[in-house]
Parts: sequence; structure tokens; C-alpha cells
Amino acid sequence: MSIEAAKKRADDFLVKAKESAAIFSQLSQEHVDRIVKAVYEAGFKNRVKLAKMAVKETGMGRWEDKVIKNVVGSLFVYEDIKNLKTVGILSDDRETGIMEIAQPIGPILAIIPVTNPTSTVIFKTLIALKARNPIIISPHQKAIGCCVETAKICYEAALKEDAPENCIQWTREEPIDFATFDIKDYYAETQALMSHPKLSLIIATGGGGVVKAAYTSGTPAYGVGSGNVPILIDKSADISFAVKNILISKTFDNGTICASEQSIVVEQSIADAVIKEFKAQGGYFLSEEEIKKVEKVAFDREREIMSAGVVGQSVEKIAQLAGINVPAGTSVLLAPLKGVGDDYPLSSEILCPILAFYVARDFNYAVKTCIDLNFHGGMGHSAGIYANDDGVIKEFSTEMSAGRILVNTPSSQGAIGGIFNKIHTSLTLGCGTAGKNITTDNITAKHLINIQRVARRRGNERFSNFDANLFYDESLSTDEILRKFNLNY
Amino acid sequence: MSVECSKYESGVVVCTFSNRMDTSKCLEAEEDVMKAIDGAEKIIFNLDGIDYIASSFLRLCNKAFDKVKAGNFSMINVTPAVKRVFKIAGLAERLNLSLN
Amino acid sequence: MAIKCTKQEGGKVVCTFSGLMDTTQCLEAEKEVMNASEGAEKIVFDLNGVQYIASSFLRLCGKASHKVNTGNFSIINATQAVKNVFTISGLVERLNLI
Repeated sequence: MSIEAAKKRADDFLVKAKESAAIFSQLSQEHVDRIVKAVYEAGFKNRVKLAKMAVKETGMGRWEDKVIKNVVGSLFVYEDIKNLKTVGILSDDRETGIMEIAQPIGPILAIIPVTNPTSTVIFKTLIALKARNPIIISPHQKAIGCCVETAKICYEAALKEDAPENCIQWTREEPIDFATFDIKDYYAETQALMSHPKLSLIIATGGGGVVKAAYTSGTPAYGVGSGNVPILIDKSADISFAVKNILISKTFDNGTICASEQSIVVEQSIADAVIKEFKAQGGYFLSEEEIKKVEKVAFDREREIMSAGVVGQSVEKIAQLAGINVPAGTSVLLAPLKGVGDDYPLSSEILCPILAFYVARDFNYAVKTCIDLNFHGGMGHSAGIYANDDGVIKEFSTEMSAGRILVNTPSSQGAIGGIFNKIHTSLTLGCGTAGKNITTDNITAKHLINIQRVARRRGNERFSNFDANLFYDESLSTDEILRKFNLNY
Repeated sequence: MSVECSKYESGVVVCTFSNRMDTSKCLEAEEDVMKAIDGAEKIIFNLDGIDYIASSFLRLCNKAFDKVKAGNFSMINVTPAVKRVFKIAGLAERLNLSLN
Repeated sequence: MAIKCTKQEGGKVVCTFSGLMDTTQCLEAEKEVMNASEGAEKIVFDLNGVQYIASSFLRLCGKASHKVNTGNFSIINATQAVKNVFTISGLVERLNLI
């Protein structure tokens, strides 16, 4: 496909989206809320069907867990945003004279990852519509079918509530046969959409490549960074509880959530107890030889990232790929490692049920190991700690570079909010500047409005009583000027 | 006294710092350190109990690092907070600050 | 009735809309407009009193504008809010909004 053709294609989407944005701008809060409710209900109603479609098409994860993700993306997100004011006057403070007015931002392009396809479509659609913005769904090339089906379900529901036409669009009607279609053309299409002048914002969830493309497109973007989530189990922790929660999280959808635990770090004094507990709960500790075999299939040394072949796969499948024998019913593979970095491939982010395992001399060394893990590809994302000592929790948290620090909580479900804590429910987790993002927030509807500030005249008493000519007088000392400036104030 | 340096037979010099290594403490320490590590084979900075370092300390580390062969400078007993400073400054790898 | 069309001399048709031009109103209006504008030389949409327009109204404008020669379709008396909608959608020039 020529660049011109890709541009023409993008133009068709954006002309429709822009018209839709125009109509959207007139809608009242009450009308918007009706649309959002209808879309959430439709997504929720189809949660099982869409989950099964996603697993079948992508070959990743477990359908039961994808159902839960769809529930999070619809019900939990809805509950989080339903009372949020996104239309008209948000606040009016007579004291400061500042009135805040919400304006929609315009057409949004949503980049959807292969690991959480249908849930992310529902989630991004809900938050976009809540803020009165049309959305264009651009699915990962291996998840087109299930994403389009989700988008259609949402669109149909929205139209029933008299939503603006084309408030939800999708970039492809059918899955593409990449045997005959050049994948580069798909990227070119996405690129043309991203850099289209009529596009207002990109919400990019996915791998580093697509997120970087979004940031460099010239269109404002919310992206995500990659994770490499360290979990510290402190000696004050309830060990059996900690292990149970880690397993709930790490095995969830075969570890496809980027906030899932990647490494467990424990102090020497409780190491035996933790190992025993992991074993009791179905964890299998790999021998050095087995680690080498697993490394080979789990990590792509050339590209220096996890291999796509293991993402979202079960323990059995990984064991089979690596050619190792593990007991039936094994929940997770644990790899005891001596270091962090390129010499230890399993210390990197790998989205499947493999955990790196570190034993540290004491708490300080445990924190230092977590810092190393943090800096090894997970800056700004998430970290976790199991402890019952607030001092320890604070010490750990201040040393971590992480947007979310989950305490005594499964990190996958904890980071996306709503289930185990009160952070905003979201499937797009900001990683701050350390992760090359503009925010550490969980991205939600409030990020998709422009806030205007009407600033009424309110005097600055000191300034109005002050002879401003004194500022020009170099012979006066700073103290002298300040004394006069603050006089009787 | 902001630093104590001891020489060992095999040409190893251990410099133990204490308290906050702010700019003036670093200046004080620098002379002692440079003198002690002259001709050393191996240099070890012991940072036990140090919870703050000024920019001058990073410079001092680099200076000491350049005095010996690659791999012969190391730091021990670094607190998490100080370790993070070296990580952010991008000096952790160069200065041999891996997992200790 | 949300619409009234009057034929004037010189083949000019003026369609006056009122109230909320939501999807249903637009559907109803469409027939009327299309009938009235048959063979027209000039079409004028008078939006005095229209508070809200649905997507279908933009389409109706597009359709009507195709019925006559370029420049012979125009929209008058749009409220500021409705004018904003045409501006955001990028249709303001094409539809000759006065």
C-alpha cells in the first residue's frame, strides 16, 4: 500500500470521526450517561462470548480469566466513571473566581493489545464516550476479529441510545490473512491514522514499538511503559497469604497482564518458609539446568525481549516447549537467580507463569535487588510488597520507581484498580516519565476532556498596594523590596 | 573525620565513609582518599550507614575508579537510597555496583 | 411539525426547521425536504430555533446541497451552538453557512 493510499484511508475514518465529534459536542451529561450505561451493559452481557473469541483467535490466556477481564473492562470501569462529571461546568469557586468547564477533546485512536483485546476495547470505548469523544478501534493484527465484534456490539448499543453516528469505528471489517497481506501495510495504515491532523489523541496500549510510534506521531498520546514487576516479601508478611495472592495474580490469564509479578525477592531469614509454601501451593523450582532450557524458549536473545511464543501460555505448554518435566498441576515455574540483567534472561519481563526468585541477605539487600529489577526494563510501572509493618512499606515504596505500589495485593488485579483497592479501574496504566509516559495515573475518562478555566478578576492585594516602580530600582536590596511588598499583608 | 582509609598487603585499599557525604565532607575526604589510593591495586569504598551523597561524591568515585584497572574498584554496604542515586545517575554498572 | 418548506419565486425553496433535530425528526423531515426541493434552483435551510442536530441532519444538509449547483445551498439563522457543530465537523465552508 502506498503512503497516499494509507493516508486516503485514514482520511475516510477521520472525516466521519470529526463529524461524530461535532454532534457529540452538543450532548448533555444525562444523554452521555445513558449511552455509556448501554455500552457497558452490552459489553457485560457478551463477556463470555467475547472472552472465548479472544482466546480462540489469539491463542493466548484462559477464557475464564478473560471473562473476568471483560467484567473489569465493563462493569468495574462503569462503576468507576458513572458519577464523574464530564459535561459542562465542573466546578465554580467564587472565592478564587475560577470556573472549570469540560470540553470534549475530539477523535481518539485506540491501539488495542493482543494480550487483553476485548476488555481493552470495551474499556477505552467507555471512557472515550463518557468524555463525549468518538473512538476509532485499531486492534493488534492478531486480534482483529474479536476486537471488531466487541466494537460492533458497543456501537449497536450506543446507537440505540441515539449516540452520534460513527462514534465508534474500527479500522478493519475482517481479520486479515497475513499470508497474502503484507504486515507492513497494516503498520502503514496505523501510522497514517496516528499522524492524521484531524486526530486529537492516541491511547496506545501494547508493545514498546507501537507506543513509541504513537508518541512520535505528532498527535498527543497516552501510552504505557513495559513492566518488570518486583515483589518483596518482608519478614513481617503473612507468608502463606502472600504466596496464595502471588499465585492468584501470576496465573491469572496465564500472566498476560503487564502488571503481573515477574520476580519474588525474600530475605534469607524467611527464604525456607517461602520456598516451602510455594511448593505446597503448586510452585515448581527449576534447577540450574532447567533454567537454561526455559531461558531458551522464553527469551529472545537477539531482540532482547520475551519470546512471543510463551506469552499467555500455560505451565504445561512452556514445559513442553522447553523440554522439561514438571509435576502435573504445577501452577507456576520459579527460577532461583543470582543476578539481574542481560546475563539472567529470566530477570526480564516475561508475560507467562514464570517467576524469578531471589534470596537476599537482609531487608536492605532485598530492596536493592528490587531496585535492580525495577531498572531492568520496568521503570515507572508497578511494584509490590507483602508486609505488616508500615515503616517497611514506606521505605520500600520511596525507593521504587513505580506508578503503583501494591501492598498485600495481587499485582495484576491490584494495578488495574477496583477489585482490591480504590485506584481508578483502567487497562491503560501510565508509567510516568521513567516509562516515557506523561503520567503515572491509571488512564480513565477524566484524562479525555480538556478543562477550560474561566478566571474572573480577583486582585492580588500585595501587588495592587505596591509601587511596582521599586522593582526597577537596582539599588534596593531584595530584603528591602520584599519588606515593602509584604507590608501590612 | 569523614573517611578512614586502610591499606592491606595485597595492594587493597578500603575507604570507609561515614555520615552524610555532603560537598564539604567530600572535599575533606578527597585529599585523604587520593593519597591513600596512590599506587593501589584494588579500591573498595565502604558506604555503610551513608544515607546522602552530594554530586562531589559521584565525582570522587569516578576519580578513584580511574586510578585502578577496570573491575578493581567496588563499593560495598551501599544503602538502598544511595544505590538508587547511582542507578539514576547511570553510574551503577560502570562503578561495579551490581547486587551489593 | 419540525419543518416547513415554502417555494418562492425564482425556484428558491426555504425550509424552516425548529426544535430538536434528533434522528427521528430528521427522518421525518427528510421526505418533506426532498419532495420540496425537487427541481429547485436554490435551497435555503433556516435553522432559527434549532437547538440540537443529530448526525442525520448533517447528512440531510449534504444531500440537499447536492440537489443544486454549487453555491446555491445555504444555511441561515443557525444558533451559535449549532454553528459550532458545523465548524467542528469541518462542513462549514462546504455548506455555505451564513
